[in-house]
Amino acid sequence: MTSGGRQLAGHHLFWSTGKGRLLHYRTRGRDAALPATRDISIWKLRRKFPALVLWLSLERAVRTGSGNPRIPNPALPALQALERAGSVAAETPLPVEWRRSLLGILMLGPQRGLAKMAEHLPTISRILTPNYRRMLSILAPAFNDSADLTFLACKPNVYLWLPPGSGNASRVLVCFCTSSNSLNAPLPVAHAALAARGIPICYVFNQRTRYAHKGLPGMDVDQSARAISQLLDRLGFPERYGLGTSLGGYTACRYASGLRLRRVLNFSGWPDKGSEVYADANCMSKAIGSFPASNVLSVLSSTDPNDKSILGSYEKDPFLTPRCFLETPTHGSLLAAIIENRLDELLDWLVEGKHFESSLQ
Amino acid sequence: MTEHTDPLQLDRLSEIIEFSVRFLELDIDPAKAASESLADLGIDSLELLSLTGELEEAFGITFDPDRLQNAARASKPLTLGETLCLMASRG
Repeated sequence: MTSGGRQLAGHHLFWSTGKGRLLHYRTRGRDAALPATRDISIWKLRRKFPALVLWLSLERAVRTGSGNPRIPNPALPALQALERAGSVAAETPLPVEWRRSLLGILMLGPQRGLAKMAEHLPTISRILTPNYRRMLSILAPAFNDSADLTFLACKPNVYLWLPPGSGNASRVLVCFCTSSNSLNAPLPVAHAALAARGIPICYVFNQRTRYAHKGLPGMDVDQSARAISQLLDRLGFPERYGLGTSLGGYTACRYASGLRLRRVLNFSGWPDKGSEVYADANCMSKAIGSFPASNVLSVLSSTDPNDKSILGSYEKDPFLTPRCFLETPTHGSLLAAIIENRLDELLDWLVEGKHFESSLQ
Repeated sequence: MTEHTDPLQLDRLSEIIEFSVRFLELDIDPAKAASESLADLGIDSLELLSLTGELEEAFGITFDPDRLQNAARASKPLTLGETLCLMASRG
């Protein structure tokens, strides 16, 4: 798909029918050769998902510096004020509406909004944690329009994002999220970091009432893995690599065999407390089953109390995969990998099979 | 009570936790939520920032995001109650 000669990203959304089938929608254009049930009708989605209306309004406000007069846009004053950075003294408390809209940009994007936040970090720093400030500062060059997850607000069960010019790609990164559907860094931010690789990315999301490690709605895990595997086969992605953070790390291990993943990057993986497997001391080794442990790289923070506890559980299980330790005290260590500039070498191991000096071989 | 709970009155804390459970739509009894860790409740930093913003408006308490770093350096995972108390500014 092109716009004024510029190649655009492709978006494929999948919703479970609840009866063992996935409905498949896609954006029109370059990726139209890939089969789908139907094309995305943004007008229908707007009616069904108010958060998409907000996203489009935010995107327009950031892009044009003005909102759609017919749609109330609480973000506009905040964004216009950011444009006049310096007019807001660093010690002035940010109005609550600004804070909401800026945190909304972290949750959903758009990428231009993230770039603007990175540009004006001193003004907005007081609403962010120190880790988030570092993350935005480091990733500022990675924020660009093609990495927008435009339809994140529509809450699909599975979202396949195709980078511009990926027509012949055979590799795909399959990502599994935390219970709140982040990658322990806000998803649009983590996506920008991962998208810089230029590899298609497939997100498997959790629903509020059903997490993906129990299967997509209406399916168990094996049926879900089969359904996702079939759709990736159909779309021409035989080479699959898994990545997950926290609950998503556990879920990635659980799906590794069924999805025929080549390798898995497990950031502090552990099931959620509400899960029946939470109390099972062997839950991680049971999750990977016959999948080779040497093809899983477990990444943990050596200083975060949650990750230290997870490491203790891995030792007891035993869940003996190669390990990488990071210093930053944050659970679900993908954010730590970004802050410590280690993400590239971890992704090199994952998708390129490059040697990684881990602490347990 | 640890020193983390100093800035907030206990009776107010239970009110704050009740608000937090509603705001984050947690499927848990508010009485239990206060003593669960953020990881066990599935609350990440972004949700915590959203929550503290709303708490500031609803309760007039200021929360300092910089103090979240101290929670992450604690010897054990802090509970939701302890984390909110740690982030609450003293003056």
